[in-house]
Amino acid sequence: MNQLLSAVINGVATGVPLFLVASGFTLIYGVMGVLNFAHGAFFMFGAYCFAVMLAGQALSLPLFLLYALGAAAVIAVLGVLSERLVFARLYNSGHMINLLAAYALMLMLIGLSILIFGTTTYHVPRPSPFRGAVHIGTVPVPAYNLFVIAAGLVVAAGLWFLLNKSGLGMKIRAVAHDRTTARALGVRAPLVGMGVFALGCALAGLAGALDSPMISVAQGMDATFAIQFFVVVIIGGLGSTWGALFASLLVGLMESLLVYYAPAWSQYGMYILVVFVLLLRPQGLFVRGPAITHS
Amino acid sequence: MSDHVLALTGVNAWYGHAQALFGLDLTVDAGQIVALMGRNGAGKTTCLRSVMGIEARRSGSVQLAGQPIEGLGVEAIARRGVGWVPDDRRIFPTLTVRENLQLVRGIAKRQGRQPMSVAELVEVLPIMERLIDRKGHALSGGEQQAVTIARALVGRPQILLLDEPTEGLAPVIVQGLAQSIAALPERHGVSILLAEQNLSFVRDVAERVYVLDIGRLVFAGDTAEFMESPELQERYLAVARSSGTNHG
Amino acid sequence: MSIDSLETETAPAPARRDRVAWLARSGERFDVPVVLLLAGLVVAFFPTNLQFLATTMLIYGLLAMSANLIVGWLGTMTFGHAAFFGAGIYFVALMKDFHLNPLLLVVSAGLVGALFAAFFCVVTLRLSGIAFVMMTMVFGQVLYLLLFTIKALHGDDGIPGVLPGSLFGFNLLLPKYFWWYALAVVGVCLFVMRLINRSTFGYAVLASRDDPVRAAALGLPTRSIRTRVVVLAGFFAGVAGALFVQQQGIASSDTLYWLNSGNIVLMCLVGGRGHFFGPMVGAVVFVWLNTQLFQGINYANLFIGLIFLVIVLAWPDGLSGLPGKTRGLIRRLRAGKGGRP
Repeated sequence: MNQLLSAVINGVATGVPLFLVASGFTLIYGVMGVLNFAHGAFFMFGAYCFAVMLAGQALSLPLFLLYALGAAAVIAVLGVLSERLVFARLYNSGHMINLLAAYALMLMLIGLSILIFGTTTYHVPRPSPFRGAVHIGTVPVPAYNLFVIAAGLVVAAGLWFLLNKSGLGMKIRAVAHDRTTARALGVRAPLVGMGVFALGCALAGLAGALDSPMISVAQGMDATFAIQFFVVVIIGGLGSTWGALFASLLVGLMESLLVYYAPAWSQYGMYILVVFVLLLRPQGLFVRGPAITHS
Repeated sequence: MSDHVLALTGVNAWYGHAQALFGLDLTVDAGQIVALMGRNGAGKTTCLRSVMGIEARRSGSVQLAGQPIEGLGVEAIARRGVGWVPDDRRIFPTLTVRENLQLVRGIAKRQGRQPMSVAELVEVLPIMERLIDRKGHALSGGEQQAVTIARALVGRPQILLLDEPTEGLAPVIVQGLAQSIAALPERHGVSILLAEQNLSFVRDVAERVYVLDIGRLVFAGDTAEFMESPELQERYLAVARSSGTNHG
Repeated sequence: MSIDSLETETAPAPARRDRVAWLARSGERFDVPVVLLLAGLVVAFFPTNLQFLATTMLIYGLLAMSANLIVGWLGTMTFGHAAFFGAGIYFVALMKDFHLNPLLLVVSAGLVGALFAAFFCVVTLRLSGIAFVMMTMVFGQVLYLLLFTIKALHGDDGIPGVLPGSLFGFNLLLPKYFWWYALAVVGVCLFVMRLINRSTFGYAVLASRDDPVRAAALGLPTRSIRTRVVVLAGFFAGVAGALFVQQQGIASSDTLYWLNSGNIVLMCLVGGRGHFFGPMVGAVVFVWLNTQLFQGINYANLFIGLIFLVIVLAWPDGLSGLPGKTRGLIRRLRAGKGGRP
């Protein structure tokens, strides 16, 4: 029972970075109509940047956060560059072309990361206040996991406020619905697009930074993650942020529980889920209407 | 020459390889309501879109109050004071009417123009009063039309581009709309270029008429002149008449 | 009937015109054997290591052509094609101790690939578009993971020591014999593909790709068409897998890594998925780049991605589209600069 609680918390903590990446992806898709298949690579870059910035030191919490936001900012810039150089040309092409271009971009980012960061494994220490375990009742739980969950809540709330209660959020929603009309009202849609890309990629980069103490930052990490976030988005439904939240938690929990109960199958967790969803409700759990069937 | 709010000179427009407008010359003076008429496919919408900078590739000169705007992007043209009211209305469905207006208000303020308040808008379009907090998808056709016009007016544009505003509306609503629109230039100093097929609406509202036929200008003159010639109307508007009978 | 009969100064008389037409049609139908025969003769004079390379290119060419059934003929995307390739590889590897006839193994491997493809089709029968592509990726990844979960497949270590055996007395371990063997197998496969391409079924496939709604309205069974094409693709990929492991001698888990599936698609696009031999050209280019240019560079993905990107953004027709593009460019230059705006 105790270990179950620990596994659950672990699962939720695993789900948070997944959610950040998935929500960034969903934002970009909702506003720009672009399937940024390369989004997982931005996560990876964020983790690497953060690892290099820390250079193995255990920081105080404020510094840790500062560096994490710094890594996110770097990834935001990377995202805007990608948008300008690659995706801006493809706004009127079909989904398949976008997918291929994003895949190509991902390959480039993977190659770039090997060139810049090499093939060594980086270890990122947790920030000093959260290095130990916290006891919930009699159950020891890694303190960092709780921190990640809290950070996730804060970011999610901030995102909600931005999209629903701010002027910028209004413009973003307008451009998402009808880019041409928004422009005809004076909204600078290209700038909004760049901003959304920056925000979405920053989320991915932040996720990478926050997740780095919990995983080993090395080559090959992206492979799981690159597919993982996409699986999450498919399960939750393309275009739904709530879906992304629910699906991330679901996948995180699934994996964590499998590690506890059936370790040999822990990697299959998300695939089992996605197969179920694709067969029973191909448009995803939180989306109404038919799945995207055209190219 | 320079007190034209809008001046098109030699404008051609293409969709891909298909040419939709041929050497169009058109002017709207300050405070005027000018109608653009023609059958479906004649090029009315293309003309308005060419002014707005949407979609079609174009050549020729488009001037707003003497300043060329043909090379600018859509948002730049909108910010200079061109209001766009498309024929399919295009309300943002999940935003409330207030938010739809708020969107434009912020932009207008940054341009240094004092946006119209809700009260002023209600004065122009009384129906707005009860719609203000409704969500976009909860509006009927006539209500959407009113909101779209209001939204385009909020930023106090120099000229309003109206694309077939009466399409799909009940006659009684059309009458109300005619009154509101006819009063606009006087009350708020905005000029209007109106694409319309509804003859009586045009008669009630517009001072001058341009007629397009397959992308070419075939008539330019006062509304009265056009309204008094059933022969012109028949030739260019496909008004169905049996031979020998005059349906006025 | 000699080639000389084609060279006439004046317009051919009706009977001759018919013969010319017949020759042109047979030329199309028999282009596969002719091209491969020529290639075969040329490579036969190469040194051994180049023959090995050429054989690898040929095998990847078959793999790419099989993937093009899905990417080009069906017009959709697949990020899991390495799975069928791997099915063929591991099947033959697992059979290594039985010393079976290599051709028998090749055909059986094809059937195994087809079986996996059939299973995949059953699962994805109601899916299309992004959901379908997602499933191809999931399928590929799951099979990759199974290599590590199922003990008999040895995960990272792979299965070494796979000998091709001998055929008609020729020891296939020698690259020069293996070349002809592979050429023959690939040749037969391509010939079959060519026939299908030109058949009624082939046109039905094109119709359902170009306009699925209209095709369905015409009564074309689009689902069963897709299934048949994917099963065929699985068969040929399995054959390619068999040849691959017979040449390389070891089955390794890398081949099923999902980025490899992406590389296969890249070969189709680089060569041109709208042209019959396109993927073959793409495979040759890709293998050449990988072995000659990118050998020893661990960040090669940067360049591969760049090439991919250029193709997607600027050259969607791939290399096979170049002749057409150049002709178009020349025509436009000749028409002069005062043309249409």
